[in-house]
Amino acid sequence: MIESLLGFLALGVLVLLRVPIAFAMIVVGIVGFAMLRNWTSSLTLVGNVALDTGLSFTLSVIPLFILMGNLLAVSGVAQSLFSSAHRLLHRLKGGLAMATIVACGGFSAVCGSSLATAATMSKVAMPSMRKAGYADSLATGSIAAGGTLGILIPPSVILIIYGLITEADIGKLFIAGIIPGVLGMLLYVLAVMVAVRINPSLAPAEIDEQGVSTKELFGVLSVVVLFIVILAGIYGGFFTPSEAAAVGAATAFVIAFALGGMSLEKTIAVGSDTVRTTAMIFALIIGAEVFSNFISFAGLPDEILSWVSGLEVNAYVVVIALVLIYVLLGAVLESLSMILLTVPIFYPLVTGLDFGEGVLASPEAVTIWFGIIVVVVTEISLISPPMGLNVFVLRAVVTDVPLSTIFRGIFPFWCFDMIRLLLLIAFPILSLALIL
Amino acid sequence: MNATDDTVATGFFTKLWLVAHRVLTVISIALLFSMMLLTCVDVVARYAFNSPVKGAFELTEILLASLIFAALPLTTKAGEHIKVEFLENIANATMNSLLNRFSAFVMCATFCIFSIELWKHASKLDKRGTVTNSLEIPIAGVGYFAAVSSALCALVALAFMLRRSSPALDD
Repeated sequence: MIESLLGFLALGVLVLLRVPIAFAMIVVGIVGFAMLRNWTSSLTLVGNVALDTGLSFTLSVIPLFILMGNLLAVSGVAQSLFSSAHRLLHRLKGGLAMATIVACGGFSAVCGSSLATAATMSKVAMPSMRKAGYADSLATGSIAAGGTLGILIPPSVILIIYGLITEADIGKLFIAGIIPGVLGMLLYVLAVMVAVRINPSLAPAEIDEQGVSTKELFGVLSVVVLFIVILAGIYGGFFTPSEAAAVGAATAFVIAFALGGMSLEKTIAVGSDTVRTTAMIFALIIGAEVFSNFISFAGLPDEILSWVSGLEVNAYVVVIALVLIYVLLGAVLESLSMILLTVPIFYPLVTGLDFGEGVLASPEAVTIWFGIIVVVVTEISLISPPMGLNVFVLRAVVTDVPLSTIFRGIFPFWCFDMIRLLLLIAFPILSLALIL
Repeated sequence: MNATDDTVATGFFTKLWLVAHRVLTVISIALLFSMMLLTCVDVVARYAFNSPVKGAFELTEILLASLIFAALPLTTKAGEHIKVEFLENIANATMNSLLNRFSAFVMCATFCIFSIELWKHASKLDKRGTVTNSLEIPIAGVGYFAAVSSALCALVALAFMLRRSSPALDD
């Protein structure tokens, strides 16, 4: 126990001293393992982990889904989704902000990353909302919050990583994300309604717009088709997730080309962006692997498990305690590192709990439900001060809006996120209905 | 920051790095698109002609490992490894510079370990003659490549560490 605590302490200190999280995990992992065992085996292990992590067929899904999202980000489908959504919602007050949310949800259906969703939508939605005279707070808030849907509505890089750690079926995890994702989208739209009802000056009167063009219709249709092919393909057993991602990326390339946005320069820019992000993610995965080797060797997961089962508290109390830990961690840690660090420790604990008879009777159902909860908490951390990464992504595009304004704009969405989190914990059926 | 402060590397090393950067960018993008095409062809061949590509599985593994290590120096150079900028607003310039140098030092040390251990691992695989199942590709090659790439990453981190002024990693 004491070794693990020292390990986490050292990790925290290194991270505060601005050491990239991946490298902090590797260094602590190497030193910790060497202390418990010896230097030779610790160092040899690092060499093995570094190579073997890359030599994995299953993990090829990660760069391919990132490629698909990045290709679609430059293809112009985001604009199509936004215009079409606004066409539907333009009669309502705050219609552009609602359209932003709906378009974020739509884009999330073909993009597995919240940061990419927020970055793409900010370029599309922010100029329109500014031109129409929306308050900066509502405009930025809706983009930052809507962007978080990227990791819940499938495909999702975070759910893939969760599935790889817990050996849960990625297809089922994806399907489980649909209802909570759509619920999130609806609650965000409700948040816009409430915000403009309380403070009507946030949004001006809507202007009636032209109908949807053929090109926009093509953009929307291609997103819908791609989403269905990927999900039906994985869930129906026609494709492995990696194959779905490869077919999806190739289709995204064709869509981008058909919409007229593709050039050699853009292909290179998208490609080089994708490979750099891939290397960043794998550095984190290698780091987490080295660190968890040390933590497991020190026996932390077993000790926590026996400690909690000794407490004899209700299973839901444990889950709520874990959620609180995630909310706190999410305020300081980046989402992927948080999941890589905590899930190997927490998921054996959660699957060992007794939720009684009902939808959570099997460990598999618990694993999938907990995955959705973890992703929703991660979404919240993406828009929580002080570290909310979506906010910083937005800041990079909209440079003249102060952080405090963005966080103020996020507040209504954050409140509805909390409501959604409680609903998902109280009613596991919301996450599990489609896979039972 | 003016341009001459940007690097301690002399002209020769700067040019060498530019070449390496370009080569690695092209290689990693090519690996990415090959991985995509290979998997697509495999799917089509399986469903349309009932004959999957021989060794597609292990080729994908090798492509992925090579892709990661080809791109790692690019990510490192771009300062894109995720870190928490917690003390940014509190620390003064000297403190900032020290923190950034320390962070670069830890990265440099880690990459040195990677490089050495990957090389050892690769030579073990080499001696044992470990090859993939169906195409019999020697895995050691990927290991050596990963070792060399890690060494390059260590050099990139070293350059950050020794930079004359304001070594912000995010240029």
